[in-house]
Amino acid sequence: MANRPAASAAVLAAAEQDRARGARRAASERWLTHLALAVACVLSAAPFFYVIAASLKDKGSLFQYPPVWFQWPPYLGNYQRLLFETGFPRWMLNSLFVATTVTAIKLLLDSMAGYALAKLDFTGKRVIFLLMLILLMVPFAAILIPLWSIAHQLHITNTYLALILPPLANPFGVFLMRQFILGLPKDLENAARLEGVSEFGIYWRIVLPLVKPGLVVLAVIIFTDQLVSFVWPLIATTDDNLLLMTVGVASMRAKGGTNYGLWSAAAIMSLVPVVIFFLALQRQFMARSTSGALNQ
Amino acid sequence: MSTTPQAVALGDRALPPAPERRRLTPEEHRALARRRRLRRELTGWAFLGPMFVFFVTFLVVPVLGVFWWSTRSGSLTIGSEPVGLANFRRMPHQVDALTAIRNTVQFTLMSVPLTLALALGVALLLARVTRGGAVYRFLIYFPALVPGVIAGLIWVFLTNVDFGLFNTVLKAVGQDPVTWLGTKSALKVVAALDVWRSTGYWSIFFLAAVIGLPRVLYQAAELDGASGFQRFRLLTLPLMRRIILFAVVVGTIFGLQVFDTVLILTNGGPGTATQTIVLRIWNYVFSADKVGYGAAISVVLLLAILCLTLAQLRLLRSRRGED
Amino acid sequence: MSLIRDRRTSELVDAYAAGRLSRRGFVSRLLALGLAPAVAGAVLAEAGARTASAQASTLPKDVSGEMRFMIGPWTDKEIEHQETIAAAFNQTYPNVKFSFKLFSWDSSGPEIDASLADGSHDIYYFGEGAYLARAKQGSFADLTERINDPAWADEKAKYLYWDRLAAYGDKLIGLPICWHVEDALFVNLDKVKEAGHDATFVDTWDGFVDCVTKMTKGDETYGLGMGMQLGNFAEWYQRARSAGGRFLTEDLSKPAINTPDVVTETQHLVDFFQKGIAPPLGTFNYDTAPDAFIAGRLATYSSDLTIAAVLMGKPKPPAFEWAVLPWPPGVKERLSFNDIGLYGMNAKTPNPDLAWEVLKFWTSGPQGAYWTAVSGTYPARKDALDYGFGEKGVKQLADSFEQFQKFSVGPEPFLQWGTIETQAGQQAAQAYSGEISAQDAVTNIEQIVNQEVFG
Repeated sequence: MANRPAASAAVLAAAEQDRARGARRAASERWLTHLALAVACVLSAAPFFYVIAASLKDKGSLFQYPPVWFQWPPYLGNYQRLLFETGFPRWMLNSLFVATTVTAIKLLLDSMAGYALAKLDFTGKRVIFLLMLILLMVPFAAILIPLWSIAHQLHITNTYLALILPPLANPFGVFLMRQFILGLPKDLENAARLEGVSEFGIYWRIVLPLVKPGLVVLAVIIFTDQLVSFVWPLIATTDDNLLLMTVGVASMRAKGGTNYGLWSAAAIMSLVPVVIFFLALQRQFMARSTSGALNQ
Repeated sequence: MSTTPQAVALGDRALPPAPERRRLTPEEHRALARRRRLRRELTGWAFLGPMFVFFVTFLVVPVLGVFWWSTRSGSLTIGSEPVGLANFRRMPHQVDALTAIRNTVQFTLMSVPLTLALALGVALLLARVTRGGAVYRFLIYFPALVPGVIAGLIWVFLTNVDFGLFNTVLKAVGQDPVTWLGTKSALKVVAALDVWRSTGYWSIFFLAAVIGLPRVLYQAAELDGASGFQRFRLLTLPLMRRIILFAVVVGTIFGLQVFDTVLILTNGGPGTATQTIVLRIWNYVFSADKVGYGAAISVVLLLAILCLTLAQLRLLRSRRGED
Repeated sequence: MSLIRDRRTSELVDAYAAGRLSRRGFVSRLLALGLAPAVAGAVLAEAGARTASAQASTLPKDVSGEMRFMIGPWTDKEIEHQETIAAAFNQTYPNVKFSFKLFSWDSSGPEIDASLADGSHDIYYFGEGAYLARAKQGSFADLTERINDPAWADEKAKYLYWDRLAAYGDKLIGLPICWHVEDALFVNLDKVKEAGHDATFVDTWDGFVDCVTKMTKGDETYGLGMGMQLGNFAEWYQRARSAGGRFLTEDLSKPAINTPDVVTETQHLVDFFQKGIAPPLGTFNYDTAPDAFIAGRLATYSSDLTIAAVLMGKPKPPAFEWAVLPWPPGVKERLSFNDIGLYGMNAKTPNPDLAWEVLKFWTSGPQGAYWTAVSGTYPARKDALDYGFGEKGVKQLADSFEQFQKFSVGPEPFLQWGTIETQAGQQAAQAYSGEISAQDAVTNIEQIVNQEVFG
């Protein structure tokens, strides 16, 4: 600043400069945010390039010297074979059916139980909370044999029930919901109680809408876990018609000469329904219901 | 944790008023209190019950089964017999017993803090974007959706000595190529694979919490001239404490159970370089005659994690305010 | 004249012959019919003969039913190969339907267990490593009587390795289809020639060491790749056996692995790593090694037989001359470790006679030769070569068929063998990477044997 302007003009100019600087900073911050996120996306998704490339080669030559990064023109035979000559479509349907069912039931049961643990008062609550916390840590490999014995004694092995019921026991969702519900402001539900709304009404009409982001997260996590779960489905059902996608894909890994092309095509195809599910939930995600309620 | 006295009082007032004003006898008072208590119990259990049934059948009972198996020799298929505590007594004499424990702890210390820090950072960034958020979220979550066998193969490729991505980068900056899955670095690579697969998972989890943060507070802080870092340290961290602690507890527990990624990528090798506790359990679960030994290791792991969690809970409680 | 005159007796005989009635139940029913014990005995003998002939001959041509297989994928065309065999079977028995489910190798044990319990499948493929446990558990059908039926003796004699199965006990639960060399050497003969040797370099230990040393060119070409097996069946066990070591003595009473010879042999393997002849562990693995071999990064490498099929299935198969050869002699003798693959049937199958017919057909000379050839493994039949095993499959495999058979040795017949072998491989690998000494590794392995078997 070479020449000194009048005092009032100086203040105005400074304010103007501040605003401009603020806007510039906001713009550059936004730009940096996008850059950082783009880098994160590349790091997480780029390795999958190998799988896409391999699925479009006519011989699964993943480790060839020198590496063939991309085959041109791309070969679609792997997808054709996968869809028409293997059990893949059936595996996929089974996986989707099981994952959707488990997600739906679990969202309801876990949010109810989470509500009970967060907001209701009854005997044994603390003990049960502790028990759930402790059993959250049980390594699945450890309980595999006893779990299978129980399922077998209940005569549910080799039915859809064997795939759907045992995952309902996982207390992770209950915790998550409890944490989210504990974080809710008390004013709303207290007001509802004063107005004589039943306990179920409070849970259904007030708490559930408020924890929507939590429910969406839980849905994504349960659905993902079910879709990629492998060890239990391996032994829970052995009937060909009840085969899940992960187990089917694993069985394509032959002792001699795994067909990486076919295998990679299976990996890609297995993601398609997940992508749809995920994108469908996106809208729910950004609903700022909690802060909205607070701001009112 | 428990309903505050205030809430109970409000609940009382919510009851329909008595038809006419009169003084209740002590008996009537007690009966009313009993009924109220019964009602409270029934409501609580009605909400918890459905999940609890499955919890008991498919988790509590199998865990009791693990304890039962830990005192037996044999297997499900060829029959078993009780052996008392023999399975526990032989544990310290196991060759390389400490290796598995050391590897598991090292893995957890490497992967969990890195995963959670990255996930929190990504979640904070994600919460700021309005445009393209869906694409970012999906791509960042992507690795969690890939079945383990496929993820393992991708990493075999990334770590390929001759033309894998990692060594290509090293060569480009003039470094010597590294045997990534060799004895010295295999555990780090397994930890890195885990960070890759779990960061998206936890960042989505954190994102839901970040979105729920009250914006008013941030606007106020901004008006007061708090810097971005100050807002993070003084607002975000304290407000998200509960969720972050939950993530640390659960993340640590998941870390101590690391197994599937190891199984896929290195199967515990080379040698015992990536041998972990649960991998060891896994090797006995389907053995012809030592299911009980695997169960005994599980019991010890379970008790160890139990102590850890109780300690963490205590820490959490002492720092907690009123709830 | 037949003793089986009246309708009730002949109905009982039929039921016994079809396996619906146990021998004991049969005799007690005969006695209940009022037959004198001597007469009942005579009827039993006659019925036995009839049963045998019923088994030797075959089912009615119009027999119908479904046979559900649970098998492991040897190649990515496993189901196609199985369907080819099924089509051949259907030429005789057109009304039998087939389905094939693949298990994944890493979890075949639990998958088969669950399927046996659920009765989901009729026929299973399983490896010798699981034979003893499977024979003990009783969920596989006992085939002893069918296999030892005098009427089937000629056929039985054509199968290899009955003596080895006999070591697992009197009960027979499967028909062998193949035997698989778990640690064969895949050899780039061009590089062997460059080093001044020929294919006989594996006949002596010194020749072998000299050749792989000369073939090694810094970290451009490694003379010998090893330690890349998928899961278990690592080279170390075979080398320990070649040095006269065993996990347990022949009478299975105590460990017999910690001997100076075994330590020497282990040190030989450690030397390959220390001298840079073998690539450091983790450099290549089961998936990447075949391409490294084709690219000349590995002059020889040790893996299981089916890699032969993998190499030929590559977009660019080896452009050089190559062979599959057994490992050289050890301190004591020359041995090649293999394990048998078998087909067995679920004790719960609703159709045991049909299942038996299917088992015999699948493991017969022509079908066995076909399947093993296309799967990259060796047929468990003496007559497989007559049925064109060499022509259909990979030439290199057929070339060394007899050589491998000569040195063949299998697992030791005790329950914990598999668990110990896996852990022994880990200890050996520790020594390869210099974490512990060869002696320490062998001592640890002895301790593992003690704790797994006697602990």
